[in-house]
Amino acid sequence: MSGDANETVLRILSRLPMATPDASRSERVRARCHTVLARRQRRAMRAGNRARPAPRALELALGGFCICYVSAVILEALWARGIL
Amino acid sequence: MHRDLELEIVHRLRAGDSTAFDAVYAAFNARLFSFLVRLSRRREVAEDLLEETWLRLVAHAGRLRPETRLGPWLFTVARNLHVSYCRSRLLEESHTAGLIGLWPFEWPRPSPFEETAATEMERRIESAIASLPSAYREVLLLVGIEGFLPAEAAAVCGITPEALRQRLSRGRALLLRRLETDGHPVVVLSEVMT
Repeated sequence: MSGDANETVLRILSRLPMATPDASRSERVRARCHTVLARRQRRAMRAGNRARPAPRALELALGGFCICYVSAVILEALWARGIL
Repeated sequence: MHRDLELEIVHRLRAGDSTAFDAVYAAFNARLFSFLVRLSRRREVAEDLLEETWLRLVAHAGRLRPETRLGPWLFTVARNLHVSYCRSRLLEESHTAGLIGLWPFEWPRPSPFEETAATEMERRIESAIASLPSAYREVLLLVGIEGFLPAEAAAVCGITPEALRQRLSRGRALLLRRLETDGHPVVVLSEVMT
């Protein structure tokens, strides 16, 4: 097939009109996609909020444990020396 | 779509931005529908596959790679959905044929494009496209109508660039033959459509 004929075929194809889908269905699809995106965004935000307090709680628990441990050591030492 | 804008839209889509989705939707909805309706030859099937394509995009939005090219991505999904649809239909028909003992047979119906083509010339061209085997039709639609580069179209179809070049060349030759069978040289068609 000649190059001219090739070009002609492609030129004909490029001029064909575009089809338009049903407008009301398109709107429904768009709205459905928006709902999915919004749900995903909410879930991501919730996951983000939940992710933040976790290290803070861990810090508090660790701090509490250290205070208890040090207090127990001091009490033990005082008791061993007969102060208490 | 300009590449910088596309990258920005992908970035926003990954974050779930609905206005970014609207931009993609406006740019590709009619194009995807035209592609699907010419591929499937059925308006209702094209509408269903189009809806599924958009739902796949929003479902995968968070996992899109930052450098994703939206056009090839969407057309790949649409094309794969059509392939799956054809496979399931073939399976369904073979089951039905087994049950009723008849070979599935369906008269080729005019495609929606053929029915609504504005001119006789457009109708003839749409009819010639619709009569091509699916493998040739899809590459002609992607390169000839959608303007994809051969390498992009090859990626959409899941074939090598060499295989695409062969399909494109055979598809064009076949289309040309079909257009000229009723005695109208393709050059005349081209002039009429100008």
